[in-house]
Parts: sequence; structure tokens; C-alpha cells
Amino acid sequence: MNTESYILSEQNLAKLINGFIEAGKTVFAPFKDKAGKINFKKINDFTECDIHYIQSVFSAKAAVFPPVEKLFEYRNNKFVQEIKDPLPSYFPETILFGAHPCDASAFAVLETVFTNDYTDAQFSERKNKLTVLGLSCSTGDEHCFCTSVGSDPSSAKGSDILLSLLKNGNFVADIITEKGKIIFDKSKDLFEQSNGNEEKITAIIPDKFKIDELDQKIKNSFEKNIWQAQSMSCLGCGACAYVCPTCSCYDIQDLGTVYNGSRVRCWDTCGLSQFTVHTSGHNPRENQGQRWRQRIMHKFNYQPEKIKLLGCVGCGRCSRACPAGISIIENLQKITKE
Amino acid sequence: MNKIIEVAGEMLTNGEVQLVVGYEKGSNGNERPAFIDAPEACNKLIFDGSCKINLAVYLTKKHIKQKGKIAVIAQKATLASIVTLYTENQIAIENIVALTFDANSNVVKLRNIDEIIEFLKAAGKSSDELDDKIEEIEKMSTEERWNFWQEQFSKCFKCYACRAACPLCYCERCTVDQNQPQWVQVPATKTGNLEWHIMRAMHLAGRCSNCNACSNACPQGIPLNLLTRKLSQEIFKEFKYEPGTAVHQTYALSDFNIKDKENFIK
Repeated sequence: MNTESYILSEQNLAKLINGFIEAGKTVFAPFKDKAGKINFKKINDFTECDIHYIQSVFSAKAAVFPPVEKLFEYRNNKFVQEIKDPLPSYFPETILFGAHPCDASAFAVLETVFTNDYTDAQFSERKNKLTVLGLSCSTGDEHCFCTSVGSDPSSAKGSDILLSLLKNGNFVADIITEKGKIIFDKSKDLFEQSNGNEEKITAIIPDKFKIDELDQKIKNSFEKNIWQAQSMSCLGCGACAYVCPTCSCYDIQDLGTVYNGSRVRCWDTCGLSQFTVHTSGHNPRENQGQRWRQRIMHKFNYQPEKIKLLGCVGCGRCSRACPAGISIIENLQKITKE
Repeated sequence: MNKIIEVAGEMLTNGEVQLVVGYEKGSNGNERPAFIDAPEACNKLIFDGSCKINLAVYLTKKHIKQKGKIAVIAQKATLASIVTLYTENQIAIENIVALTFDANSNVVKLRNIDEIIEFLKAAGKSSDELDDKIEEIEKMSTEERWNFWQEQFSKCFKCYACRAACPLCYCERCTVDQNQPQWVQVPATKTGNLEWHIMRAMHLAGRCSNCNACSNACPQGIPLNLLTRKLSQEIFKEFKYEPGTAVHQTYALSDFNIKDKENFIK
């Protein structure tokens, strides 16, 4: 569909968001906690959210891929043996508001993973019920590199409506998809006509590397010894993967007893040494260098080959979260220069 | 600053050590670990006292040990960790030289465990704002305290950065990774998070060097150091145990003494 652009004042934006909440929809928005950390959280009023942020600690992926998700419940005793599936139809209509273009574009990667050869019912239901009100970036920092991985701070990829901050404090709302159009049609009176030449505040994210060069180099780098050098300081935690908007690995766990409980899936990560341990005790990825290689190769080589999408959106969260200060940009640049 | 570059460079040149583990400036401007095996690369070494990582964490790593003899730039807490790692038979101290600074910012080389303990004794103890924060929490009612920690733990996604950054969490297989039997819930549920954080703090009770690496490593900024610091205080009060002050101290939670007080049993 053709993109239509309108003006949305901050007051009307508040009305729009509070309208969703009043209508019983779940609204996830950036929220600043007492420690000053920004994360996406279910809000009960527009005033709770903080949209003037560079990057949240965790990505918005929990809206479709929660850190802990029940797959089924079971009961097993003398009288009853039953398995109860959760009813995805009970998942609420969800609005993700204020996610930057990096987060919005990451949903395409997750969707491909979860629906590639098998349609994950719970993921799909959540994704179908999700409407993304993206927010262009007006600021960035040294860890941002969306422009190097085929996106940009005002990309509409993955957003149903894309909001961009204007110099006068209002927003331009680009209606991108049918889902976005439905929202617009329901709240038409909040939107004003745009004359098309309002001045947006857009972050400048300089190029950090050329993705084509990286692609060429990384193809032949599996056996190189760069991985050990790059992961020398890696402590082997899961911070980089858990904050990542595209990392989709999970573990399956049973919570409960023989008699009752539930089976859940929860985030897991290739950074942890236990991730690949076989039942026999053998671990095919026996050192951190191999685990680091897996993380980088998966995103920049395997996924582009298999699902025709880069597994990285350039949000820079991994670098911000790394307790050892490992910078993904720096390491990708090194691979490019190999 | 230049002194550390000079000393480290010398040590690499004359073959005294094969690797220097220090700090360099990272791309976000913060200090981060640096691993240097060539004298000319020592120029990037920095030390401004704001280092958030306890470099003792690398001394137990196989890929670091393999390098040979190591010089490690150590703050006071790093030295205390080295003493505990030595006591717990985790490091070969003859392969480690700790580089630290005296009150006049001169580089001091500590080559054995006695020198480290002497240095720590001379340096003395210092209190910081963390002690005030603990007092603040102690003043809370039980319910307030419970709510405070529930709120903090609700932010945890179990990335285990706290475990990874801790020099004393060196177990090859952590209790949380054991599944036969499974002691601790794997998912980041309310129960699972509580279990993990209690377990972590208890395993560090009286061993913790108070380096704050756990809370610095937490992407969510959960003040985990409050738990370990509080337990350090308790262990000191009850058993006079203080990491870094002597070797072969018995670790409070794995030692039994017939004279142990039992007045907590009510």
C-alpha cells in the first residue's frame, strides 16, 4: 500500500496510546526504572513511558517471544491424566509502541525462524496480534550500526505505523501497513494533515563497515584463528544473546512434579558452555572461541544463506551489555580487514 | 600510568612473564580487559582506578593459563580474590605476578601469596557508600525488604553475567546447570530467580572479595553486591573470617566446629 503521512501532536499521541489501553489492549512501551535503565514494559498510562531514549537494555522481542512461556500444563494421578494446551486465542491484542527501527525490523528474522518449516502456534498468534508503532531514532551512540547492516534510523521495516519526532515536538506518522491503516481509520480525528516538508530530527549513524565485504570475508573464516583472539576476554555469559532482538534460541524445561506442572520454553544462549553439551558429556563447542564464532557466523553467514536475512539489525545492545566490553562493531571491522 | 606500561613492557621483554592481563580503553570509553603478549603493545595499558572488572576472573581460565606466566594488574579486591583462589587450590601462584600500586602510585610487584597478604594488611580496609546502602536496607521492615528484592530480582533474565564476572564463581559445572537432580529452576521465573540469587550469595558468603564485579556486570544494574557484602559482614561478625588476610582459612559454610553457636536455632 502507499504510505500516507500525517501529523500527530504529543497530546494526541497520548490520547491514541491511552485509547488502546482503555480498549483492553496490552501496550508495551519503553519504561525507565529507578536505576535509570530503559526496558519495554506493559504500561497503564502514556505518562509512564519514556520515548526519548537511545536504546533499551533488552529488546522488544519479548512481545512475541517471552523469556519464559508455558507450552502446556499437565496433571497425572490415579484419576486423571491430562495435558492442557494454552489457548493462543486468549493472547491479548498487543501494541508495541516506541520501538526503534532496529527492533521493528528484527521481527522479520524471528518470524522466519519460528515459521520457517513449522508454524509455531504461540509465536504466530502473538505476532498476528501485534501492531508495531515504531519510532524513528532522533539520537544514537557509538554502539549503533544499523546503517551498516542494511537499515537506517528512520527505516519503516517492521513498523505498522512509523512515528518520527519533529523539531516542534510533534510527530510525523507514516501509515505503513494495513494494520496501521486500521488504527488510523479508528482514530482519524487525532491525526492532522501533513504538508510533507516538516523537519524531522533524525539520528546520524555513520557507516562502520561494508556488509558486502564482511559477507565475502566471513564465508571463508570458519577455520581462521581470529575467533580465539576476539573472544579472549569473553566471560561466557548470556548477556549479549538475551538483550539481542534476533537471538531466538530456547531451552525446554518442565516445572513441577510427576503429578502436575507445566512445560515451558525459556531463553537459552550459545554463549553458555552448557548449551551444546551432549548427554554423553561430550561438548562439540569446547571453548569460548568456538562459541563466539557460532554467534557471529550464525548472524552474518548462516542466516543470510538459509533465510536470506541478516541475523543482526545493528542495535548495538550486545556491546552495551557485555561485562567485558567486547564491541561487535570492532570485531566485525577486524573480520572485514582480515 | 607510564610506570605500569614500563614495568609490564620490561617483564615481557625479559621473559619474566608471557602475558600481561590489564586494562585498555574500550570503544565506549570505559576500561576493559586487555591481554598483551608483546612489549610494544603495552602502550595501550591504562589504569585510572575506575576499572569495573576484577581481572582475577581470568586467572582460572584454561586459555589464559595456557599462555604461561602471567602478570595481572590488580586492585585491592583482585588481590583478595587471588588469595582465595590460592587457598582453594585454583591457581598456581608461581605462575602469577600481581602488579599493583602503593599509596604514591608506584608499581608494586607481588610475587607470592605472603607478599600479597602483607600488602593487603598494610593497605587497610576502607568503607564506601555500599555500607550505607546496607544500613538503609536493614532499617526497612521485613515486608519492605522482601518487596525491594522481589522488584530487583524481577528484572533478572538469568544471563549469568554476575556469575561469569565473579572470580570466585569458577565451578566448571554450576549447581544451576545440573539437571540430575535439578536443584534450581532454569527459567527466569519468580521462584527461579530467587533461588539463583540466594544460592549465588550463599556460595560467596565469606569468600566474596567485595569487588562489585557482579553488580557492574549486570545489564539490568541489579545491586547484587549488596547481598554478598552483607554476608561478608555477617561472616566477619560471627567467625572473624576476612578474605585476603590469611591463607588456609577455613571457609565458614564448609567448616564444622563443635563450638559453633547454635543460638539461631529457635
